[in-house]
Amino acid sequence: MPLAAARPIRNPADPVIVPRGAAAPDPAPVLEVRDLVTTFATPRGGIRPVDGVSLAVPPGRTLGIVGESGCGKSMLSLSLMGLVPAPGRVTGGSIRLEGRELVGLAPGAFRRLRGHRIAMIFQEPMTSLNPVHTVGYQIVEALAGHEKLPARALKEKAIAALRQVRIPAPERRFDEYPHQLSGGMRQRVMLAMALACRPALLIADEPTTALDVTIQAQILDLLRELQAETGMAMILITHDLGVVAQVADEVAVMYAGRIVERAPVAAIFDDPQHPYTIGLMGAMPRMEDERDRLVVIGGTVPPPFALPAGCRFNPRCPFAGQACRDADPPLAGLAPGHAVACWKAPVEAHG
Amino acid sequence: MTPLLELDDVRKHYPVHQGLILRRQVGIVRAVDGVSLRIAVGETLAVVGESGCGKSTLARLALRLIEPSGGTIRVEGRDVTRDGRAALRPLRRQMQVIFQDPFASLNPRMSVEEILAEPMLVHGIGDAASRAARVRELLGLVGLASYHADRFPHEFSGGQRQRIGIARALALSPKLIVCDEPVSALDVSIQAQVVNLLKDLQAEFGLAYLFISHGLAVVKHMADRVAVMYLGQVVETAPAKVLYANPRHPYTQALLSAAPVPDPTRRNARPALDGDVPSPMNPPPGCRFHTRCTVAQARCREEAPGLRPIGAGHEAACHFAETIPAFTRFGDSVRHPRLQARLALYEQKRAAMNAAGTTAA
Repeated sequence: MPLAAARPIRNPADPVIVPRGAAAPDPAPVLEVRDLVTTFATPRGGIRPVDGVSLAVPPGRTLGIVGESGCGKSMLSLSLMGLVPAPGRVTGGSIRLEGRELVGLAPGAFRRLRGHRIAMIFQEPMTSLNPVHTVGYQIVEALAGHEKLPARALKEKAIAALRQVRIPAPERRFDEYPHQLSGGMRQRVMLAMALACRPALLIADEPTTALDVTIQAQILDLLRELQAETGMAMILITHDLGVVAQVADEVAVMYAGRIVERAPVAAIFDDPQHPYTIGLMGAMPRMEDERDRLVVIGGTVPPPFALPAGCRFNPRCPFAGQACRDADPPLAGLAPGHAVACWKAPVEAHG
Repeated sequence: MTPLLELDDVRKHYPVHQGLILRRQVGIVRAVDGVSLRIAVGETLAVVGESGCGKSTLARLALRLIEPSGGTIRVEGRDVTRDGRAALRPLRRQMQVIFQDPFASLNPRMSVEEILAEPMLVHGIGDAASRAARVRELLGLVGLASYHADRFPHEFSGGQRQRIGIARALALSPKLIVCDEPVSALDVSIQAQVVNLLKDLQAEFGLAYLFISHGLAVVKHMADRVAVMYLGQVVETAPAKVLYANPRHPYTQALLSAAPVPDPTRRNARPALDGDVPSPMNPPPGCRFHTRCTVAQARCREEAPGLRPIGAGHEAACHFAETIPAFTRFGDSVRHPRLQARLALYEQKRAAMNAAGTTAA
């Protein structure tokens, strides 16, 4: 029996995030995810690193997903890409990319979409590039999987892709190997590969975490420019709230496999409602601050096989009360575009 | 007062060879090229810079883990540059280290008790009973429980492992701890716990820290003084408050402006720096930064600027340190009052929760 069938649908009412400054919700999001559940069969029973996630990303917009390691954000992105490693699989919910259902799609059909309509870049560009092939070969390989073109046209397209990500002298770089490139250049090559087929959605999983701050600034700037040029939708997964502030339009905060708060980026930074989001804001060291001590979120993320009863954050939450130990709060709308899963929100009134 | 640790014009050059049989030297990587620093008792000196700037090499030089190619290293006024292993042994008790990757730096086959007792064994301190007591004490100091002593590194989370690494560094009651990117591998919430712990320990034991980091925001919360490194050299050093308020080297300004501003209403303009750090094997002539500098002039391409005083405790290696435009990151950028109030409430509730002892903080 699929595990998802056993659990009730928690929040049917709020799928679409309202972009900041937009007059009305976009009618056709590029990606729409509803109640997504990814289950791993383990000797201890089924565990769900992604447990009922709903989100939507309109074209030309960026959704930032933040949370600590182990909160399920990388497994969420692999689920969207159809790349969940065995023994895990998507066991419930729906993923619609440009209106097309991806859950239950045959592997061959998924392969044709991957890299073409939906693409992904990873944290460590060196481990995602093949060291024994030139970068040009690898981009051509990605292109050839989706487009039947003569070799020369493929090479031209690959060089154009390198040029698009502002790599100087792309004709020369085409014949170089990954080890000949710096970290920032490698991440640009990854981007060129991901964007070569003009995907509708780019998933960037910690794209700048391994880079120096000056190179990070270059890559973030490039991502913003490329998005403006191509109109692609973007999901940016990161634990760096500074990066989120710089790039995202909307933010989803994940905790233990769930989205606990979702809001336009400005609201996340000046009006965070979930105690976890508040804690993250306080824990982030800021150069603008004079205060020397940082706010601390005690404890760590519970592993998916040892989730606490009630609200999953309650053992770490300073505001937790009996209600929080008894029942799991649903993600409920608090203001337009702003939803939070907390019994105590707003904390001023109920804390 | 005699500084605890003093580096004077310290250099580390690595020869680069080519060919297997007919090996010949084809160049020199100047990883650290003439760095002078002093750390006083109880002080935190942070060294910041991009990867490849030589900051980790500098940390290893300061600990005498690698041999310097030139310069002098003094500990409490005594020249230890040429000291051998035996002579260095008492020194090692005073200078300990915490590494970036808390998993790679703990032996997976040793229990926490063995890991924490090892420094005492090596230095022949105490007997089995007193060492066991010290292990319990150390665990308490870093916020772990005594029952953790029998566990193995894989049973801990990243933050807890870093606490074990800190406890091990404390085992010999050192005067200086070299922290090589101690929080870079940790989540922001865990990072805050470790940063606060390091500050508490410093207050309690009067520790000095040499804090190596690429995270400028973390450094702001930790450091008394900051040295900025570029291609093996210190380009600016100043008290932390001064450096962040009034950076006078273009590279420092670029680093500060590149760090993402955690405020969605203030998105960074175009990045200040193009390109990558040049190879330390072949640094540019003149000022090493001139290839990426926005205010470079003809003089910068020919004449290497030395580090020179430009204010109280403030030194910069730039010909135009006094005349380049002032730089302020975002003077008025403070947290929204609503967030400020909510954080205060959060802290208050957390204090109450800790007092009630209901948490595993």
